[in-house]
Amino acid sequence: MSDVAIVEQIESEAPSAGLPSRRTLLLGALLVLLIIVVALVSFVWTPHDPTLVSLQDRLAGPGSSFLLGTDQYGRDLVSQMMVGSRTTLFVGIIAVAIAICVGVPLGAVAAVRRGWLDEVIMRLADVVFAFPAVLMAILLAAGFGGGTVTAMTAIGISYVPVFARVTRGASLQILEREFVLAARAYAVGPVKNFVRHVLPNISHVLIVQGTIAFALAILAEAALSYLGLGTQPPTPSWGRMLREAQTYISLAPRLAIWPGLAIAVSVLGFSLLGDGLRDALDPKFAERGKGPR
Amino acid sequence: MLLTVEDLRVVIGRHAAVDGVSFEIASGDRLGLIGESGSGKTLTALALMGLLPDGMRVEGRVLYGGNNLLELDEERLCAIRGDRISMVFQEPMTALNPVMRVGDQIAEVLRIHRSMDKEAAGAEAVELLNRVQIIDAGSRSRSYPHQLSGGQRQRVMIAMALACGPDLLIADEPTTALDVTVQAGILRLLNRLVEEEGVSLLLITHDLPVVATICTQALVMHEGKIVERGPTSALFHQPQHPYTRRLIDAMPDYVRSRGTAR
Repeated sequence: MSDVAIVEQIESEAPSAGLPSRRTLLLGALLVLLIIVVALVSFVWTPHDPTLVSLQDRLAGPGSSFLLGTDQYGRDLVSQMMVGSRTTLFVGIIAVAIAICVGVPLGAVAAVRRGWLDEVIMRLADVVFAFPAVLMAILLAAGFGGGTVTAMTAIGISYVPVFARVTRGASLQILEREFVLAARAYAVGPVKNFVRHVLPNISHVLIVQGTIAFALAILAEAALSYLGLGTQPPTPSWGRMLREAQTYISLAPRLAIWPGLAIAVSVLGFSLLGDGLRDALDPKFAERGKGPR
Repeated sequence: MLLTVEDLRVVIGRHAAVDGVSFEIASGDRLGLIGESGSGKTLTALALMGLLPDGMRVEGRVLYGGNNLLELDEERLCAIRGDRISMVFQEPMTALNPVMRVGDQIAEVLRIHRSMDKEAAGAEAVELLNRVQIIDAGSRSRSYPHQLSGGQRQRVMIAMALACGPDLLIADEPTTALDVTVQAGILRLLNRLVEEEGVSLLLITHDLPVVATICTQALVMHEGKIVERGPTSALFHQPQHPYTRRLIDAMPDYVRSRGTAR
């Protein structure tokens, strides 16, 4: 062993004292886990039947029989919110999955191939981008009828261009880097090269984008449900509960507050989870995250 | 002849960045390709590997094992790239994937060319890190590139390049981005490995002392053309071409006086 090699060795021992601070990740994961658990529990148990209309209990206040009270039809708020979390998760996951599964490969092809194909994909993305999710849902609903599936497909499609663009932009930056060329010099094929060397380097961008899209999808589903294009009654959805509560906002504000809070908490949970995941997945961030913050 | 380059031209638009370059490398040769930035030496190397960026046209012949590399299809070229001919890049900071453990990056080469399974390739990667004198290779193979120093990263690059026991190693400015003390270590390592493994070396650099240290033969490239060639010592002591003379005059005296020690 030469002395030079030893010096190199010592230099590379970067200070890494302290424990990793992953509070963001932990809090986000906890909130998301809470929603998932609530959604799962709602399959087997809810305090009341969430769709049971009971006129003598209408607008009952919070109490021993109804923990958070009832709505204008006498349906239990807690039960509705528990079942509503299923819709929220379902819509968010599927919409983001559609957007990622279509958008990321399109953006990747555009970035790798460049030229006319890049031009065609990105201009098509611009066209789709010009349609708001609501308009997309109206278009789809005209063809296939309204419903949760229509809503999440429409939301998913409307986020495809966002993922295509983000993927393309981030990939172009990474494709310039020498290690991609080096991988080619070791005969790594183009698809494998992208998946092994480019994608992991842009995953933090995609994860953050994914959590933002998830949060927006929850809100979009609420808007679509209000328009009658999303989740159909009587299936509970946080968005529809919020909209229905509008009429009774002065009489029973809790009808709006609780679903609103649920939406806010889930959006916050997914955002924190995304932030935390980005830091945890990027080895450089993980290193820096160590020690006092 | 291991590799014969005949009248290689790399044309960008109407401008020939590499203009009729010819040279030969026999097995065991250590050839230095000297030239300033923009003289076309890196493009020459990339052309040999078939890695030129889009929009560049390449002409001429690169003969290796009876084939013209410039005409081979991608599949057959891939069987040679990284296996028979491999390359060490200039910037060890950017030539390694920052989110992949270095051991995995070395193992990837072995898995592609040697069809090794994950474990065998991982073990071999550690062995290779040992060969390039990285202390504690076992745990270092699980490090990410940013946890290694510049010199260590370049050692990792060399380990990758030697993974499949190539016939020819192309090193493009392997020491330029490194401190002088680290440079010396890397050069000693390259020198030793080339001797031990019988690999031919094409060393591309603008750094004359580096060529003087390692190479037996040298080419001087200027504006896309080779202006002078010959054994390194002759080139340094009796430079013929005015450009070579200028290059050698540009060296600080104490370097020149050290001359071709090896």
